[in-house]
Amino acid sequence: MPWEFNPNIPIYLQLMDKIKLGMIAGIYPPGSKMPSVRDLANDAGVNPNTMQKALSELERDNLLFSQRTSGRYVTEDKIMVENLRQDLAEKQMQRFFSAMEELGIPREQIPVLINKALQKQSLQKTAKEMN
Amino acid sequence: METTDTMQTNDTMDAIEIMPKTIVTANHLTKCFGENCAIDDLSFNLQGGRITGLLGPNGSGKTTLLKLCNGLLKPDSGEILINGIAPGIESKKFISYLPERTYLNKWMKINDLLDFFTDFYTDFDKVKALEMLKALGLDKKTRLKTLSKGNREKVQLVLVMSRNAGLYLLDEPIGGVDPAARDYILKTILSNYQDNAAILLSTHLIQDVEHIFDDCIFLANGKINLQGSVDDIREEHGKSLDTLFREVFRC
Amino acid sequence: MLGKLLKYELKANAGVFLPMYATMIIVALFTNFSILTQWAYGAVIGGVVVFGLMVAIGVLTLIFIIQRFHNNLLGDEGYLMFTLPVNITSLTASKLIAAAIWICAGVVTGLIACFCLSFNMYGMELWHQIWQSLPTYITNLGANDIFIAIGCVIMVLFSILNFILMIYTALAIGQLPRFAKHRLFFSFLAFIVITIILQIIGSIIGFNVNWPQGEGAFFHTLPWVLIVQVITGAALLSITNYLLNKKLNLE
Repeated sequence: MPWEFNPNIPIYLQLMDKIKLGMIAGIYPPGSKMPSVRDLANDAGVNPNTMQKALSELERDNLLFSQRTSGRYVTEDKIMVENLRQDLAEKQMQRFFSAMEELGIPREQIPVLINKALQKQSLQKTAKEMN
Repeated sequence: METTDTMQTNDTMDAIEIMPKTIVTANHLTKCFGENCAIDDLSFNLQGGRITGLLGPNGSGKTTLLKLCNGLLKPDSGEILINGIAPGIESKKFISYLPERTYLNKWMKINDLLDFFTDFYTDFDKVKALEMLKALGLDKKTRLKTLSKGNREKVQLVLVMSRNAGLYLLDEPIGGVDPAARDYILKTILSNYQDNAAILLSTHLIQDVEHIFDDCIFLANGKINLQGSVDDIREEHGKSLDTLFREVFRC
Repeated sequence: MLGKLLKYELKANAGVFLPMYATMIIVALFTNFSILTQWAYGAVIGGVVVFGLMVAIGVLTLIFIIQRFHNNLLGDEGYLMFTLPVNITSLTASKLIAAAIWICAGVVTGLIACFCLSFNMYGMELWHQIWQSLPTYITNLGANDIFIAIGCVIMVLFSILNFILMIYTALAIGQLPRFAKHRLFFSFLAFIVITIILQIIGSIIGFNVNWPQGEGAFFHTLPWVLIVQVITGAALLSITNYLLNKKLNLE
């Protein structure tokens, strides 16, 4: 199945995000070899040129590097990957804060709401396990 | 626009940058049918290794342009060059064309068609075609007549994409098919992409297909309304091709 | 390429013609057998069937010649045929040759059927007469007579080919853009016009040439007739090829 894309944003940017998620999630672990451009493009259902552009940009960001004879690899710098994780988490939190603001919920209430939600979730989880 | 990658692997796309070659050149191309000029003073270039969308509403001249490229129509004025020469036998060897309609003899069996393409096109990859047909679950011994319209179109697509051509001309390949078939068609086109071949794909259904284009040409009333790299256009206008298209061609 | 095209031309209709030829010969043998065994019922039915098949083959041959050209080149299949890397002359020539082959095959099969029908009491008399007069006929045969005989066969063959070419030219004219909505009508009209023009030219030549008189007249006229036929054929072929090359108008 081809990946879903927002047509209003350049595709290569969206590809970069997806690959970054893959790095964080462990699909492309640090130091591992990336699949070829063509294979990645085929899986994603995109034009290989676009995938090439995305990968080159990731190289520029030092998240990927090229080995002379064997292809592209994920950076071995684990700290960099961890920072990436933090960056993306922070972006998600920003989105969450904007959404709460739209709902008219003041900032001070947010930690309370979060704790409530977490508690509810773990209760539900134990209830499921008991059944 | 071009990306540089400086090492060699088995995948040529990860290899040393190949200088893009100009495959199609149109200079002040004009074709009229009586009073109506389907193509009016068109000039553009197509590079190898790039997928170009030929976009426009029905009747904007897309099919006419494709026919001018493959020699089915001759220009009234101006010129169209494929690899530097006018359309003729040499360019026909080089071009793989998928018209909008079923252009195969329905009485033929799939096997006969494979033999036909092997006979006339030296770049036809029968093994690849058989693989694709097998993946589609189509038996070589079936007559086209007995297949559904959707399957017939898939057979045509398989035959066209199994050629190692330098220029692929695809006329409305996804018109009137269900989403699953459309995904299959796009996947087939992308996975048979050659990094030195040019693909020109015409469609009026932009939303479903714009994500695969490197470049695009907007055609309206036989003239080019907009052309260039899709990413540049999206960034410049801040919207998808589909939205832009609707604005440009608003009735 | 011509050979390959010819192969597919013959394959296209062989499935209809070959069984019909075989049936006709078998029924002819059956009819003959019926005559020999004095089975009136079988002989009459068989005779009718053989005659019916002869007519059917004759009519079908003509229909298929027209249909093959029209459907394969001027219909949807034209999108395939005219994008093959072959020259236009090969396309038309392959059809012409195939058409001539089917006509000759039909005639030959008809003769074979007649031959089969002749080995009975009625036919034997004819054979007897032929056998009687054959020796005297052969001794009286001169080189000129053989020449005339071959020449006549060639003349008949050329007439057939030119007839087919007139049909092709008419169809090529009928598909021009200006006749877009009424192709068949204008093809028919074109055929009539071509016939008239050729008749007029023939008459002009006929009146303005000093024809050889007296003995051996035919012998001297024959080569000129053949030459005129060849020129006519070449002209028709050129017009057809020109129209298909430069003025092709596939729908």
